[in-house]
Parts: sequence; C-alpha cells; structure tokens
Amino acid sequence: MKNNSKVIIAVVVVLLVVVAIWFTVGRPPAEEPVAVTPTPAPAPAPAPGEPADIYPLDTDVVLTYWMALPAPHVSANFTNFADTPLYQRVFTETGVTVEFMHPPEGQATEQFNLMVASGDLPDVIEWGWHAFPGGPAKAIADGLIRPLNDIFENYAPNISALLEENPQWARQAMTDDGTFYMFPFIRDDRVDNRLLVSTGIFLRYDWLQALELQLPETFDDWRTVLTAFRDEKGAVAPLSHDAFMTRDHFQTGFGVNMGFFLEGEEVRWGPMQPGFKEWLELFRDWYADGLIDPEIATVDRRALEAKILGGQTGATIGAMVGRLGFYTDAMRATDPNVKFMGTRNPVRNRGEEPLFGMGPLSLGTGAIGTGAQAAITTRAEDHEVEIAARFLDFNYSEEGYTLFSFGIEDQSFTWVDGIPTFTDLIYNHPDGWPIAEALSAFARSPSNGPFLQSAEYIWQYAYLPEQRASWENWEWSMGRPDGQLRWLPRTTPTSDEASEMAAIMTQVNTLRDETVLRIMTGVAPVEEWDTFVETAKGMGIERAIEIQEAGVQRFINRP
Amino acid sequence: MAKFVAVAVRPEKKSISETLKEFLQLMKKDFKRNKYAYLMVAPVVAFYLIFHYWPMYGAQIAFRNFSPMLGITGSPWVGLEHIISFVESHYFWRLIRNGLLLNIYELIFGFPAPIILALLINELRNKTFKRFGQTIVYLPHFISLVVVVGLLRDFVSLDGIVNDFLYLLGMERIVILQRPELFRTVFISSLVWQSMGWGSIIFLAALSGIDPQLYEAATIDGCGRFKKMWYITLPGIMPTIVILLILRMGSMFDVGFERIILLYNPLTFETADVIGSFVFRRGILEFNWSYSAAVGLFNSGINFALILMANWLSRRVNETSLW
Repeated sequence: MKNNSKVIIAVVVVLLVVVAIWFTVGRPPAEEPVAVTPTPAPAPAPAPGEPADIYPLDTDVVLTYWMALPAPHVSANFTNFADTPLYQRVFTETGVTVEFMHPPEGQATEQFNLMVASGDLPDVIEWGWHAFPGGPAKAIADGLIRPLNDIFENYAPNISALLEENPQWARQAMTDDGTFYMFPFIRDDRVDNRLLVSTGIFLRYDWLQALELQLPETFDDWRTVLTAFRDEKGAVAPLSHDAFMTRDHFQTGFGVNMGFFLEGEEVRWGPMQPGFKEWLELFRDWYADGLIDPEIATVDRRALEAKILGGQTGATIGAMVGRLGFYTDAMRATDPNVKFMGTRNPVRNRGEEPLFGMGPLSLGTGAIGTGAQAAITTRAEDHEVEIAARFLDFNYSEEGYTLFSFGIEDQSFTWVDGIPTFTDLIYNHPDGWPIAEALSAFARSPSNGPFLQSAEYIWQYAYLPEQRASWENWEWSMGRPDGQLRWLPRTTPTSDEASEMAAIMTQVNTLRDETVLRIMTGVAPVEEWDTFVETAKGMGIERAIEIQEAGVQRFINRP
Repeated sequence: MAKFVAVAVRPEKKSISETLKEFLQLMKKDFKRNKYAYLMVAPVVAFYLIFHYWPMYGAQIAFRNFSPMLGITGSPWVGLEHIISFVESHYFWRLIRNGLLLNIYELIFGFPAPIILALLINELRNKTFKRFGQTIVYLPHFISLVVVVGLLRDFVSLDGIVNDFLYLLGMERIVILQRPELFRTVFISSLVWQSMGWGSIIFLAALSGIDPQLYEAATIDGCGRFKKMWYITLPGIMPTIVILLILRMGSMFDVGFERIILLYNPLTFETADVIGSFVFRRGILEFNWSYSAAVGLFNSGINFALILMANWLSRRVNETSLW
C-alpha cells in the first residue's frame, strides 16, 4: 500500500505541473493593466447645434480603445495612456471614460492581426490603415471598421468643419470612392511645410568652418568637401548612412529617386531613368576614392551613431530631431563646438533649381500623416458610436487642438503673445526626462494620433537654430509646390493590386538593391545597369507602373 | 551480450473485426498493467494532438486568399495560385540553391562538430575540468541570437578583431560582410560555435551507455586511445548519429532566417538570400498570410519527402531507422 500512495503522489504532482504550465503558457500575453478614471458629476444636457457646449458629455458608457502606446516617448514613463496628465485632462473635459488596451511593445502588428482574427474587437482602434492588407476600403468591406461619413455629419462637427474648409486634407483622408474611415492625423501645412519635411542631408558645420569651406551646393562642391573631410579631418567614412537604399537626397539632382515618382500625371520608376545611371557613375567614383563609407551596405543605426560620434563620418542623412538633435546633444557634452547643419540636395550646376517638389496642395503628398489613426469598429453599438465620435471629435475642437499639440495650460505651456509656449517643465524636467518624453506626457505632438498637429509647436521642439536652418534647406530641395517631378500621393490599391505589386516589387527591389550596391562598390561595371533595366522589365516593372497610375488616377478623381 | 533479432511470422488471415477485437483486448490488458505510464504520457499526446495535428486544418489558407475578418472557410479559394507565384519568381532557384547549400555546409561542418566535441570531452580525465569545460561550451547556446550576431558584426567590421588579424598577417583590411563568397563561412562559423556545445550533450549521453568492459578488453588487446575511439566509441554511438542525421534531413530546406537577415545585405544576396528572408521582405510590402502559408507548405512538403527518403535509405543500408 505504501507503493500505491507514492504513485498517487507522483501522479498528482505531474497533473499539478501540467495545470501550472497550462495556465502560464496557455494564456494570451497579458494586456497592460487598465486604469479607469471615475466620471465627474453629470453636466446638464447640452443644447443641440452648439458644439462648444456639449462637453462634458453626460454618459456612463465606457469605450474600449486599442492602440500601441507611443514608444519610447510615453512608454518610458507610463504603462497606460490613461495615466498621463494628457488623457486625465481629456477624460475630465469630455466626460467620457476610456479603457485603453495596449499591445506589448514591438508586438503591435501581431497583436492587431490576432485581435482582428479573433473577432474580439474594441470600440476604437488606432492603426495605420494604409498598412492593412487591401487598404482601408477592404477594412470597411470586410466589416472591421465603420464608414464615417454620416457619423462625421451627425456627431463630429469639429472634424467635419476642418475637412470642409480644407478639401485637400479631406481627399487624403478618404477612400477612392469618398468614404471617410478614420479620424486623421493632420499636420498643419496651411502656412508652410515645416511639419512635412524633417529629413535631409546634414554635415559637420564646425569642420566646414575650420576648413574654410561653404555649404556644398553642387556635386563638385561635395567632392571637395568630402575629400577635405577625409584628408584633413581623418574621416575614414566621410559620407555614411544606415538605410542607404531608402534615401533619395543625392539622386534628386539627376531627376530620379529610388522608387516611383510623378511627371505630370504619369508615373515613372526612378532606377529605370537615364539620370539614375549618371548618379551611379558618380557614386561609384566617390566610393572608389574613399569618400563614401566602405561599409555602406552593412552599416546600421548603431554603427552609424558610433561613426558620427567617433568622428569617422562627417556627413549623413537623417531627421532633424531624432538624428541631428540627438547627435548634437550627445557630442556637445565633450566638445561644445560641434555643430551640424543641413544642406540642400546637390545639383549638377550651380544655380539650378531642384526638379523635385511636393506638388500642388491638392495633390496632397503628406498632410495626412502615416501612423496610427483612429477608426470606430463595427463592434461599437449605435449609442456607443455617438460617444466614441464625440470623444474623438473633441481633439479637433479649440481646446482639444491646444491640448493635443501643447498640453495643459500653466503646466506644459503658457500663453505668450497669443502663442502657446512651452514651459521649463518641458525643457528641464525635474526627473531628467528628455524633451520628447516630458512633452509626450502632456501632448501627442511628438508622435501622431487623431488630432491636428499645430505648426507652432515644431520650432519650440526643434529649438536649435541650426535645426530651423537645416529645415529651410531641405524644404527648398524637397518641398516646393511647383516641382516638375513629384512624389506619389498616398494611394489606396485594391487587395488584388496590392498582391500583384508585392509579387513584382519584392523581386524588383531585390534586383535594384543588388545592382546599385554592386555597381557602386565596383564589383560590377556601370554597364550592368543596362541589363538591370531589361531584367526589371522582364519582372513586370511596367505592370507595376500601370498599377500605380491607376491608383493615382483614382486619387485625383476622389470627390 | 545476446543480440535479439526480430523474426517475422506470417499470421493467418483474419477478418477486420476480429483483428480489431484482438487489438482492443491487447490495449485493455496493457492499460491495466501500465495505467500510470499512460497517464503520464496523456498530456504529451494531448499536446501534440491539440497544438500540432488539430491546427493542420488551417494549412488550407495556403490555397485561399485569407482575410482575418472573413475567417478561414469564408476566405475565397484560389487553388495553387500562391505556390505558382512563388515558384515562378525570378529568384526561385537562387533561393533554393542558397538554402540547400547553407544546409549542406551546416551538415558537413556543423554535424560532426558536436560529435567530435563529445568524443574529446569523453577523453578528459580531470573531472573538475571536464565539468567546467562542458559548462563553458554549452553557454553560447543560451545567448540570444541577436546578441551573438551583434558581437559577430563588431568582430568582422573594418576595425574589428578579424581584420586586425588579417592586417597582422600582412593582408589588406576587407569589409567581410559585403563579400558574398565569405558569407557562408561567417554564417556557418557562428552557427557551429553557438550550437556545438549544446548538441554534444546527446552524444555524451550515448557515450555513457557504452559498456566499459569493451574498453578494458581493448586495452588488453593493446589498443591506443585513437584505436579505441575508432573501433568502440564511434560504433557505440552510431545509432544515435544515424537517427539524428535522419531527423536533420527533415529540416534541409529550412534555414533559420533570423540569423540570415541579421547578417545579410544586398551585396550578399547572391549567397545569403534564402526563401525565408525573401518572403520576409515581401511581408513588409504586403502582409499576406496565404502567401507565407503556401511557401511554408511547399517547404514542409519537400522536407517530408527528404526525411522519408533518408529513412528508407538508412533502413536499407543498416538496421537503424526511425520507422
């Protein structure tokens, strides 16, 4: 009998182990803890037709809201968006309680797909709907999100007014047949392009000054500058960049880029144009002379940072705040003379106007940003739809506009001459938070979201004078409304088109990347470009151009 | 030691129902006798049934245009469209060739390495050194792949250790990661270094099963260390080696694409681009469940055929086989 009891104990232990494993491994990844703010005392019912008075709403509906917590700016200090001073204020002002659901960092796409596949939807989803397979039209057709045209009319007067006054924004925020599907992230470009152009070529201005050189304008200037960096400043990798294949800044001077562009209403593919061969020849020369980083194909963000901070690289391409600002801060600690400056895209001959531009406002290449934008799902029932719409519409009201771009009055900003101006709390946070994090606790301007991003915030955020000077150079190169060649608007391909495009472009891009690097590093002769064009045609690049043109036509014909 | 040989006896012809009845009776008897064994194995069987066999019905999305909102059965049927699109792509043969070559090199260099390591560890006399050495050799397996590749990229960079060494030998510094002809070397070396220790465990276990009397007999016969290894040790672990080799055949077409995408770049696509990395790049352009399911099915189909062949071959050549 003693044997029997031993066996029984053993079996019980095994079962316990199985159960324990089931409960730890078998569970879906834990959602972030939920913070629910208590609703304030209900306000009297508002008079209809007066949007400013309807807040705070008199409701006890709790909305579920799925979005990726902005990382690292918010996630560094908060685990749930509802904990931030920003949304605490939003809840108080709107009278609506929202339960935020955040996927674990880095797993947003997976979690989104799992959520959609499971059918277990929240009321609101913030997602980059252009990345949804088949586009936003498919998301509506498949019954995931609601078309918003009626909802805007009935419950969202603020966004409706904005879109009516600015049809160029409306056209970017709708599907090809005129259906609205999201509360968009709008970057205010009514004055200029300051919010749209934030990346470009920049170099060590302090080195230029020491060498008594001017900011380079032509390709010959660049050769002089890079040679001087190499010989006089010991830069073994004078020009370097970590995502080389995605950058066009040196190609635009030859009238080409790395992907598709518009000439008039015709779509062209940059690498196929003769100007591209010229650019390849130039860069092949530069590489052979050691003016370009020999490790250009393997450099990643970390390695690039090491090269810049270590003085091996003097020129690179990058964003105004994330790269230029970041490097300046990092290096000024040891060398206060370090100064970076953005340059214009080089041209062939001095005085030439740039060929590329943003195109007329109606073409709208970019006011509506990419990134997560809020849509109302089909799970939200009718009375919840109204609350969700009014909750999101608040962001576009006057108070919402100030709140989402600047934060809370007398905490993150004060009114100075009629312009919201950031306070010391943002620039010198008592806990040492960097500006991006400090601001992100109060506003969503450093990232994106369903609101209108104010044009007044950027020069307070990118506050170094050279950042503004850099932007002016970059805007000149890339942002003109009258460019002869233009970037494509953000079209919405059908799911069949998307499949075909992906099948063609995966191969074409592989070929393009290989050919460009092989020619540039000298492994292959420049003549390989000719065979490259033939092979690309064989892979179907012309069909891809056709598909893009169809998308552009549909975009232009949007109501 | 007696060697048991299975003798096949031709059974008399029986009807199906009779055979079934006999089988059930056998099961009942066995269950009564070994019910705790069955109980212990039940969760494992359940695990395989639930998580491996049951989900197989989802493989059909390889033949549909799957949309999460429409569900599996609601998504439209497209037949072999995805597989054809994959096979017809311009780089198909290059991807297959690269995957196969990387696997063959891994087999040639990576398969013997743990065996040799196990043999060497087995020869150690000093117990403390043996244990210490084993632990050090296992450790790389636990280091995250991203960290290992990060270190590797530093080592092979222009001012890294490998280039310093080349410079010492009087050669020029080269950008190693940009040379397609060097990719396989870099890839296989990092793979072998990381997996060699862990892989040797199973061989060490097999080695401990060899009768020490055989070694004593060999010493009496005048065998040195090397002859003992050749005539006793290796044949002793040969069944283990063969089984593992057959199982290895089942992943001839899979190459861990994570290691590849961390190490490759367009200059080395020529030798580094495999099916997994290609489909990964396509996934960035278009999140297509069905396409990757089709490619995965294609891979699995070929792997399955390979493992069947390897098993059959092994059964013919010697008595060891998986089934």
